[in-house]
Amino acid sequence: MTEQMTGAQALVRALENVGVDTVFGFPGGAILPAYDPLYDATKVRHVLVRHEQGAGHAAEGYAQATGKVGVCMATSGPGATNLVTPIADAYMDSIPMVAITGQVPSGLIGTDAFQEADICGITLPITKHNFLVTDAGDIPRTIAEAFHLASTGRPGPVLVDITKDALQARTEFHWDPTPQLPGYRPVTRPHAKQIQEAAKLISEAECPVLYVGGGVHKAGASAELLRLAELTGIPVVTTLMARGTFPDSHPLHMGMPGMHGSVSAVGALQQADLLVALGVRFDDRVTGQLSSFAPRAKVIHADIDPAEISKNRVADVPIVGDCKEVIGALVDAIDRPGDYVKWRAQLDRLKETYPLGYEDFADGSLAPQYVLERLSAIAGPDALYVAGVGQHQMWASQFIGHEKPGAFITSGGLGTMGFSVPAAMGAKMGRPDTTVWAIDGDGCFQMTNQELATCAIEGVPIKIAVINNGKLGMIRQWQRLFYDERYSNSDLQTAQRVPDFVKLADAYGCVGLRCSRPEDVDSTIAKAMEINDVPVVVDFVVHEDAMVWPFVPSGTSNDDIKIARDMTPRWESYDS
Amino acid sequence: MSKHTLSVLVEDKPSALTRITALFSRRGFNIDSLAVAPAEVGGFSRVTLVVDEDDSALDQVTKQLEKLINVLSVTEVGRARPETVYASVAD
Repeated sequence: MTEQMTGAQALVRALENVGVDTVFGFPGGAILPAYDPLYDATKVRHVLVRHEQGAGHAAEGYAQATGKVGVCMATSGPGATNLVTPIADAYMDSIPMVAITGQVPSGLIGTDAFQEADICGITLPITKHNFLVTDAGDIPRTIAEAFHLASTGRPGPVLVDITKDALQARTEFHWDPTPQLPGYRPVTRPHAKQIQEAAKLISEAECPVLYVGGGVHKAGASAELLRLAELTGIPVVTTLMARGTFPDSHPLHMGMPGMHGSVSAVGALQQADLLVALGVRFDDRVTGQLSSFAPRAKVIHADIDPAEISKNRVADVPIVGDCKEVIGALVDAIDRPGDYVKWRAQLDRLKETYPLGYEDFADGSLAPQYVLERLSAIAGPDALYVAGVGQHQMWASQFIGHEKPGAFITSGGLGTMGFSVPAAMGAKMGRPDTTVWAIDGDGCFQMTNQELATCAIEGVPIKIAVINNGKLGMIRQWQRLFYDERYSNSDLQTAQRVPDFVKLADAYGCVGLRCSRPEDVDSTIAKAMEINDVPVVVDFVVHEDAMVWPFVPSGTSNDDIKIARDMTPRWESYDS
Repeated sequence: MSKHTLSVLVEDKPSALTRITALFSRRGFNIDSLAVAPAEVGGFSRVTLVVDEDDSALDQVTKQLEKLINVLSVTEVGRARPETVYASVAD
């Protein structure tokens, strides 16, 4: 099938052929030829954002909510560099994304032309792969390869940089979606011998833990995980990227491990004699000081990316493969449950003795954790929750009941403040029938709230809970604990209503609500839940001194987890 | 730390060499020496790298190289054993 058209038309046709329905972007000189055929496109909806960073995070949110590839588009130079943060974010969290950027005409590359930036060079270390296209005839095949790379194996961002002359040139459209990538052969099926080895270690273990990460959710393996856990009786911990992959309410669930993990989850890892690590990467926020992490545990490590295995912690049994296939194979290889009565009892005692909790404030002001508890109770487990980065993110992970896979979206690896609003917008566009709550801090919210305009204009009725303590809360928490309460540059003074978030919402065509008393929380959330035609911003004015506990201070051992200031749990002896 | 020679078969595409060298600086590995030549098969290049790393770092750098989309294979060649080196010196 060949047809004469411009490179720009070929781009739009190729996007349609790979099944793209939504593109988040912002035009500019070099990408302008692509915007002409987009004007007529009926299958692809282009969403005009207010800042390219918003386009990138929206594409991430869309991808996270739908499992499909998220697409963003920007022009050369500053347009492309504004995508760098979301690209890096997608790289760290393995989110399938294709970023399309315009580039100056090929004859001007290297001349420091107007709005020229070497975006391929800039994004080299933060993309799964990138392409510079200078020939219109290469556009369809490159788009097909970019989508193949972004969505298969370990997902990730792929950038396609297309010169303006390639977009303008005429070409014969030729569609052959078979990728020509001789060096790309992701392994999805685990090796049978490794599965047997793993099953043997599991059968020998007395204190095993299923250490579950984002790879399990990305593989769509939560049903298999539930089967494995219930078949074996092995306790489960879910990392920030895997919240909801295993239901919080399940008796085998010990919570989230890591710097702000629950004592039962951290204790489970530290005292385990076997870690069954599934789709995780032994991130420093989980392991704490690596040398004292899970000191007596053997490790089975399954991941689709061979480079993750033994990167931070040497695996006794490495398994390269897709987590759905790995867990399925493990279920087949294990024939009976283990005897973990003593181990389970030990962890259940930790869970009972050290539950997640918080203190109310005597002055009647609002505890942020209470807001999230009530939001979870009222919006329920079927809503999507999209958190920014900081204290509110950790409270959202801790105090929302995560029961469904993929219902919690946040910036994990890169920790990008400002992620929440645009990502929630993208998530809502991907799943318009689902209630989407952005959970943001007052610091984060001020980084990307310009996308409220996009939400209002494009009809994307997300709901935003701004957990407003007037501070950069996590910075303040660290300054309080480690810098003698010297609160250098962490006071946004948002409490003085600069800006006034209710007025700001109003200015953007959204509904603004405010709540500062515990007794008003339920009615305010209920009111926000009733508004489904425009975006709603709820300014929850909370106490400035709320802290995130537990806390494993950076670089220290998980064994030294603090449940409150200077308070460490009493561990039972490892041998008991 | 010990010296290892890696032979990397890579597609002859723009910035393929940059991707390899950038990976070393990004992940904090050192290249002792590097040579590039056309491979036996057209359209491919062979990059020969000498790295000075211990076994676990070598394993990691090999896997990271294999992950590059343009890289087809990474093989360690002529792993120098101490006795071999002594023999060369004696000659």
